[in-house]
Amino acid sequence: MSKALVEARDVTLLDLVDRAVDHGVILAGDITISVADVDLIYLGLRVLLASVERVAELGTEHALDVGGEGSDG
Amino acid sequence: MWEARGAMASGCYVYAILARETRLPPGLRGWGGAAVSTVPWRTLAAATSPLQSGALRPTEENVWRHEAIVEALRQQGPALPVRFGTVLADADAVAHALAERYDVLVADLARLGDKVELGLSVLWDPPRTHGEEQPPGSGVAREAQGPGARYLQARLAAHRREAAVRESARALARELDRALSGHALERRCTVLPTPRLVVRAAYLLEPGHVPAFQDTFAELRRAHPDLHLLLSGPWPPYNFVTPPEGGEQSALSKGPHNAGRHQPTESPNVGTSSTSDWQVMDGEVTT
Repeated sequence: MSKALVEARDVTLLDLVDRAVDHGVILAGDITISVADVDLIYLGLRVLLASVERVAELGTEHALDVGGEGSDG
Repeated sequence: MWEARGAMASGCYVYAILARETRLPPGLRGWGGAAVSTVPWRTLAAATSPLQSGALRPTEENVWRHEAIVEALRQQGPALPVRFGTVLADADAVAHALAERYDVLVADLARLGDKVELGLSVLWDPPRTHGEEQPPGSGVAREAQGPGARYLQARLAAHRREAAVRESARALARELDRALSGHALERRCTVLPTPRLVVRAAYLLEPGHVPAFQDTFAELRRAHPDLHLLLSGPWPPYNFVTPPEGGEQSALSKGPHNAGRHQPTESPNVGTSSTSDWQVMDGEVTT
């Protein structure tokens, strides 16, 4: 994958997660994603922010699962 | 609100808030292939689908799926995007939630329902500053100082360096905003969420103004070959919906370590302190 494509994908994913998970309408009484998953996605965002910084220098392929590798139960 | 995972065997997942008369796209499927349907309340409706497992992992694939359904709904008419992971007990609970924030949701739907937002990210090489330079003769002075004074001087120098970098970042954010905000209805900006990510901003636009915004962005990119300017979107206007009264924290601020990006001491940066804040630029109230 080219550097530009990696970068566009990462920035788009970062922007999506920032929007859809951290913003949007909040309904009273909702049960959102669990505390553990919020922690995981927060860690994922840290990785993603760092990766967005890195792609500008490296442009190399790197994997990212914003949900992390936590339990699914 | 933060009940244990697994407390619900099934629930009602909410994707978006629509005008009641909006028709759903035929055949739209949600989680597990379940049909998306609406729960009405007065002039509004929530687009929902049953969620059997009761919990949904925020994987890249799932967040994209949520987004795809929100965008499919917005093809049909004005709609507000609901935060990923919103699950209520049943249709009655959804109607109750619509009733509870009815006026705000109606106003947001009118203000934002057909608008889009674009995301701006700017990477830079942080400027070198001169805050660390010693005044003339300070070498001798330093010899005479105790370790406490040297420590405080070092802290002061570091503080000055950070302040200078932040001021450069703000100046850059203002310059970019001056060029872009003419196309936008509202905007929000975060300066220095990380040391290299100097600006992250969201701009609310009429869909018809997106090409002009993109043209201006392209000009800025050409004018700043030293910077890395990136644009994403158009997105549903997630950033511009009205937060609940009482200032409920964002999802990412609610973690067990209170690990919000809006909290400087916990912000995901790797060097300087106080690198994260939401700031209002040029006096525009955006919240």
